[in-house]
Amino acid sequence: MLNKISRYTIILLMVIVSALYLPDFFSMLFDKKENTPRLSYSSVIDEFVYTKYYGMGQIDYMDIKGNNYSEREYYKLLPFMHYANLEKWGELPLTLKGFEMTSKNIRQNSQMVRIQPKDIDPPTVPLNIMFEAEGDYASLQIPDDIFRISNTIEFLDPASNSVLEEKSHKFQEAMLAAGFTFPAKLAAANQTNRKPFDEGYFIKDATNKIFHLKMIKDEPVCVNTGIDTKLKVRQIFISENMRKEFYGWILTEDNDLYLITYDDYKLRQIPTGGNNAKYDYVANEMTIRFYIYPVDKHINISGDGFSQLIILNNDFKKIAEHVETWTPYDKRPAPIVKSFLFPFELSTYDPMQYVKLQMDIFWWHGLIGIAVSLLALLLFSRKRPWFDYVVVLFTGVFGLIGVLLIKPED
Amino acid sequence: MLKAILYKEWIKLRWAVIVIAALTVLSLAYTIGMINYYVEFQGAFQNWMYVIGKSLLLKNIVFVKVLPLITGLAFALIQFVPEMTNKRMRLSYHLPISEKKLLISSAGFGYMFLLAEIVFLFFGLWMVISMTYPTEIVTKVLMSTIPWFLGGSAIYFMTAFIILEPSWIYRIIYAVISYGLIELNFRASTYDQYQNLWALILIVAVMPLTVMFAGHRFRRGTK
Repeated sequence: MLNKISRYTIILLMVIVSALYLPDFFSMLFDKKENTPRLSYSSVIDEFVYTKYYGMGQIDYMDIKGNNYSEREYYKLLPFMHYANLEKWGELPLTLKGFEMTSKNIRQNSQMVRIQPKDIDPPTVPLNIMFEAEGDYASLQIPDDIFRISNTIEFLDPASNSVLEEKSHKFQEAMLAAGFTFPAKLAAANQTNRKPFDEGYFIKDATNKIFHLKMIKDEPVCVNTGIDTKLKVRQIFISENMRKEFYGWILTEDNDLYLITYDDYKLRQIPTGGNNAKYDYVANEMTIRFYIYPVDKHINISGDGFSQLIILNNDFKKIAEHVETWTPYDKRPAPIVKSFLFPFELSTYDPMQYVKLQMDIFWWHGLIGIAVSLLALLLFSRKRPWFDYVVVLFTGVFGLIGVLLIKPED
Repeated sequence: MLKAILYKEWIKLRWAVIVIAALTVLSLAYTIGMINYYVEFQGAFQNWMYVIGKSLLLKNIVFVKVLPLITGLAFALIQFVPEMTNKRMRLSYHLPISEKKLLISSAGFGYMFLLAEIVFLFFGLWMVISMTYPTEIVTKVLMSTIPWFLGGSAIYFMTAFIILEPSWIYRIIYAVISYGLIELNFRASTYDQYQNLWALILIVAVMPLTVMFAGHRFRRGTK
């Protein structure tokens, strides 16, 4: 009995390893790259345009009506993206829709915001740095202490690995005075000194209130933003920009996006879906980009098999939208064949930047592979323990390899 | 009888245990020196930033990744290669103890020492890094080491299993599987990246069972 269990353990381990590697090898050998269009919106002709790469430097420049453009013509359609090139070629228009087109002017009035699945809740060490928001120098000075925030806020001195009691106490008092309830659930900031100025931290407290904490002249300044506590805040992203339109943006559990504006922290929702709910933004799987140009704003939601572009005017009213689709991963030839060959696949890949052993079951496609494997076993290798068939029934070709290689011993 | 077998395993393992323990102590001491060096030359704050942002500690404590692998491999080789040369294992099978008990107690005894080494390493590392770094970093680093320890455990059981297997073809198949199972534990590139660690623990937990099949095949004289 124990020998049988032992044999099936080996087969189980073989199934695990082959399910980890074989489908991967198969994709590596046979999967072909899909040429995906890169969708943009031309404010010059008020039309959606795209480029498509075919490899070997062959690129198509098109609009969605089917007109072809040369590279230079295409760049001229997108002056807010290619202003540097256009300026060099002397082809930057003087004005567009009443906006004065100079490189500097465009740069100062543009901003880009992006959320990828890996940005949302990555595996990081929960320690933070607090910049001096109104320092004496032209660029932001990196401080020499680090703080933790959870049950309390504590500043640590790396040189001695100890708590800076005085500073910690000062910050604690300031936060409590502002109405903060520890423990903090979330602290978000843009932890880089490569930014024009510092807006510090946005912190969600135990009662879901959001506070804005920063350090001005070594003194803590903590403000209750008054953001609705019913909002299911999942993550906050901060991005300081000279435009000073918004501090950052909030992603909610319901995949909604809100900008935190400089107008007394009022929220402004930006659309995360168009007419077709199929292409609505899902944070765990898709990337959303929010481009702010001087004359309009573009929201690009891209996922497996599609890219959706929604155009807003400067009053955040939707003026156009378009979806470009291509063959999604599980409709491509190689993945389809893969799902017929193998009943399931093990992988450790996780778009959220973790290593997570997970099983992807191919359901009825996989049943075909299982049936073939069972048939093969019945035809070519009879007189087997009945449990071998059960193994193959559940694990298809992986189990077949196992039971054929590891012969039963009685 | 069991006592005698364990004594025999101890005789085989004792030098290896001492050498590995010494290596561990040396590595821990080396790490203290290395961390102090980095702190001195990068500055404490900058060093913390590299440790937090660039996973620097994972590079500094590479021995924690490697030592369990070396230990697992060494213990399995030392315990089972002498048994399989000239088929000496046959003699053991004449002892008044069942082959299953014999194999399980030998492998279990060896694993006990590997586990002791892992625990030693774990607490040693804990001590060493808490001297310089705060709890947040210490927790993350210790969590990152768990898959490595699983990898070390896997290499011990799989090596024992491969050595005990009498046929070379099977050995090659098993080696391929072992590679896959061990590699699975070394896929992280930053701290505490593994989710579903229980699945990996489960996989390692069934490995001791495999040894039995090889022992059984050896007894039957399968080629």
